[in-house]
Amino acid sequence: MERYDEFSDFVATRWPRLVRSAVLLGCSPAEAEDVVQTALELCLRKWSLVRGADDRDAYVHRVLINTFTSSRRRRWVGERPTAVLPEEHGPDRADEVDLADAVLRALRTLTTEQRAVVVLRYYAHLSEKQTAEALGVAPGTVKSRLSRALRVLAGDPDLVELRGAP
Amino acid sequence: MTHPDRPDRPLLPGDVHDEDHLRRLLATAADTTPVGPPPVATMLRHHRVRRRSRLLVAAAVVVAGAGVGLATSVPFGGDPGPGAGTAAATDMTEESAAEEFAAEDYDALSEDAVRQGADEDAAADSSEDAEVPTSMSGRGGVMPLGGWTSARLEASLAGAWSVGSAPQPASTNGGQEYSFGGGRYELQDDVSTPTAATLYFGDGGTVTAWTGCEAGAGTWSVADGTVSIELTRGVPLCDDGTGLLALLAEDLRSVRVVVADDGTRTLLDEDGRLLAVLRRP
Repeated sequence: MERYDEFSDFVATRWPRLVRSAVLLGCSPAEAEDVVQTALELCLRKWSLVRGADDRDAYVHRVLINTFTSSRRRRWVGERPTAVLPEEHGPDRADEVDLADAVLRALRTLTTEQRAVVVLRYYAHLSEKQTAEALGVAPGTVKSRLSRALRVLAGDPDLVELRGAP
Repeated sequence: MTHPDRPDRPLLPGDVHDEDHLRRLLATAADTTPVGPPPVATMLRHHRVRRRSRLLVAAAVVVAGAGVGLATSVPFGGDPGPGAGTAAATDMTEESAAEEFAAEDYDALSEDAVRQGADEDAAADSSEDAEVPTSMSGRGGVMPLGGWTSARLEASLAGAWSVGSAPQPASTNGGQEYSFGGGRYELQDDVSTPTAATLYFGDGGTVTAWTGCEAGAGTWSVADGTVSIELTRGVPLCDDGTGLLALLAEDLRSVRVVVADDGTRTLLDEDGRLLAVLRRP
């Protein structure tokens, strides 16, 4: 039972960040939860490998990236249309939503590889080495992708507008 | 405004290139996504069902080679019925049979198992350890698979068994206990009574070979989520006089076989949970 306890503890602490990483990678919120759940179930099946990994977070992010990529290769059937939308009430978060919209649109201008590097480095807080391990590429590749991604983001009109006129 | 890994090196102008600024932007954007609690219980249940289904499916696929009188339609090639097992066994490799069976049977059985066993599953979670038998002597009836709450596996093997590998010291239940992992293990009858079963594990828990069985060697059926297997005494199971019961479980690297005084074989996984019971009539 130790394996399941360990897995449960791991999921409890990583779930929110993994789901939000998936959102930044390009998933809708619901799809992000599905993708992360699928990734974590894969991890559970090979938990000994996760446990034995030099860097657990990098390993799990690698599984997440692979699961996300796989989900993009096939028709997504995880969503079910519904005739009744759930009611949502809450405080006005227009500014945050505007910011999120701008950031997500800016991220979508990046290639999948560039987006993954940005998310892992700047949201998941993985080091350059961890990012390279998670993506299965050389650290130099991480640097070059990051550099190109930052150049693209620098010229993104949404982000320029967000930070105001110079 | 510096390179993320070279603070001494200016990068490009613009706030977006500031590492901390970009982190804040991403964090703020991400935080607008509401995230519910992690579905840990669901993930664990999926995991258990998948493990048990693979075990059950593989066992059923192999024993289907001896199948006569199927109670329900099981996709194993050809029409089910007397003699169907042999024809199917010669036409399909063990992998293709397992894959075909798994793909269709998993949908049929697992959904049913999940739906019917939702409540039982919760109970099983708390009592899995308690289900592990401490003594098999005199224990009868059909025992449930550990995590597969709505399916049962029973195999009745007629005839006396002898063990093909060196026995280990007797376990505390008075029977004999054999441990193995990733290799081959045989429960093989003597030549004069050609009823036997072989548990075969390939490398890493993958079944790498199996053999079919002669028609009329026994029966197996699936009804109400119960798989019942009965092999007939005195009928050759295979050309070489041995039958093969293969258990396939992707994560199953080690299985304990506990042999009770009455000949019942109890299969336990590496965590000591009950997988299946092979019981002689």
